[in-house]
Amino acid sequence: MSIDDKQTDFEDSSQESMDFSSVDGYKKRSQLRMIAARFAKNRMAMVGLVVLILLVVMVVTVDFFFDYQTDAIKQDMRNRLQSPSMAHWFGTDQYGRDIFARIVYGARISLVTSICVISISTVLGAVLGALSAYYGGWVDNLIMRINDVFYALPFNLMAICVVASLGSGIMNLGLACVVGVVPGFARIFRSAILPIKSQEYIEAAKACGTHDRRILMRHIIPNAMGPIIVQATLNLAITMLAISGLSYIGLGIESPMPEWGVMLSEGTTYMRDYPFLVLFPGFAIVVAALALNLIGDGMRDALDPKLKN
Amino acid sequence: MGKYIFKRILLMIPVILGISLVIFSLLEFSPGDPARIILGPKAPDASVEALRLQMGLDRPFWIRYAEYIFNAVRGNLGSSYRTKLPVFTEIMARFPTTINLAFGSMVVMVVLAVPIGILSAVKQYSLMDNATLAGALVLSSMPGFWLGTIMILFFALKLHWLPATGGGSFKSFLMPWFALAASHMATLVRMTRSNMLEVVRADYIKMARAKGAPENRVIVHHALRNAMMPIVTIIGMDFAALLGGTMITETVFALPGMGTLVIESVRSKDVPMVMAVVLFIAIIGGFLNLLVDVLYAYIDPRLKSQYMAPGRKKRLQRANLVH
Repeated sequence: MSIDDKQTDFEDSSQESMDFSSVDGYKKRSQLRMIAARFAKNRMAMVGLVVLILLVVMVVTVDFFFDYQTDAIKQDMRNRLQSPSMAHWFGTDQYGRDIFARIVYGARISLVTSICVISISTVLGAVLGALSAYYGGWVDNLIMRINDVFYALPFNLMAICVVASLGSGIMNLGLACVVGVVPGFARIFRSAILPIKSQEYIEAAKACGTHDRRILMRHIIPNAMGPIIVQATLNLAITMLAISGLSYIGLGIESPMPEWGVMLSEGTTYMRDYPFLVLFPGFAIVVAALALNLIGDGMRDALDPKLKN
Repeated sequence: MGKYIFKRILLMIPVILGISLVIFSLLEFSPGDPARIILGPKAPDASVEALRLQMGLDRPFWIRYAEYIFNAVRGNLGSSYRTKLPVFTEIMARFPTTINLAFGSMVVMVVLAVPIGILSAVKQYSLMDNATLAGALVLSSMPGFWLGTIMILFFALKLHWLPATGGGSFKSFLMPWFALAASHMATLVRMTRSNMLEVVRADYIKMARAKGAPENRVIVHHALRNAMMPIVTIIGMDFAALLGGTMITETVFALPGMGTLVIESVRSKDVPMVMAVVLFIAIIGGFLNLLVDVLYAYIDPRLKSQYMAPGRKKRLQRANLVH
């Protein structure tokens, strides 16, 4: 039996020995369930979650109602610039494409891209922050000084330089956003992990001879999950807005892809007579960002130990 | 304090060098040849090659980078590949628009957000507090370019109150200031509110009230001053972000600032111009952060004592004036 297995056995037996079931009114609940309960109590966060679920359902089922090529991409000049009606809920754009269909397909692009960007950035940020905080010394110095260089540049400027150098397109835009987001994440995660490093259970794990990788993955990162999750959810909305912004100035996703920023930018030429061209894509961005912000705020409150009771 | 400022300036040097290396490498290893871009796609290969030699693009990457840094340190930032004008002249022509945009937005942000945040905290859970929080949430979810577009649509195209594009007059900057400030304002309102809420529960505020100080004095003199530290940090960080984030607002309102300059330059691989603009913004950002840290000392006398010369500190400690 390895030392790690022994340690797990010890943890299991110590948990078994702490049986509070006989205490009146005590109900054993997992940490995750308590966080979910606190989140569910937050009405605004639940509104955000419902809106996000609706968006996700729309994104998943959109192919049953519209055809991507025919409704969102193919030009139909006979139907151009039609006002909202039963046939076209949000009207049609300057190329006769259905704005509602394009907005729903746009949601797919925005949500998937921002979730991918944030997932990759969270993993990279957590690994860099954990390595930096755990090892300290020259590893910390090396990672953090390189991080400082990327952190010193404003997000938009860095992203513009990366996209413009590598060329437009979803992949390059995603990469640009990752480069812009990771430095901030690494700094925050490092500061979240630093206090955990000096906890007794880490010392105990070291004393048991546990491998550094196991300490980091099993003990340090799970205990720093609170700030990591909060940062990730709060930055989802920011990333989504950045993706639209970069596409708006022509440095992100390019036409004819139905991206919200691109739709807004194209609509500005005709907005004096057809304001719905800019109003609907803008509303879509605001609703999605608002939902993500509400969920982010709810997660922050649910994970805040000060608000536990 | 002088020693601290000097140390911070020294620490900025490796960061600036790092930024210059990252941007230089990005432009170097991205596809496209500056000589080809300058001469156009139809230019004969021989002319492109001759221009490459003339521009020194045939030399190794490290030598060109070292030469760039050597010249930049001596104040020679080179000439633009596109316009052939000295980079510094062009930046200085665009800088007033950007600084006007960033500074104006900061003023709008502080003037509106800080008092709203304070009022919201003082009247916690009131209708105004709830409305403020909801408004801040919506503003933080609203992209500046959409807000700008909507403002152009209503205030310029429909109501004809304000000009839609171009800079110059006070009126033409009103919409860009607000569009740029909006999302930062939301953060500042929430930050001011939460800081004030923490401070108004402190014992020294109870003490001030107990000794009969008027409520206005308690809020402005006792509470706000103590809540100011994180607010100043946010304002400082936001100003640096505003300076570097003007490109989208400049595009929406067709303003000839550094943001649009950097977009045009990056697209045409104008290496000297991009390098200079990015370094310029990074250096200003670095100095702004330093300014914020120095301001701390003036806002919080407890911190000021840490920066004092050791001799003076000892004398004051003997007199029991500082800890």
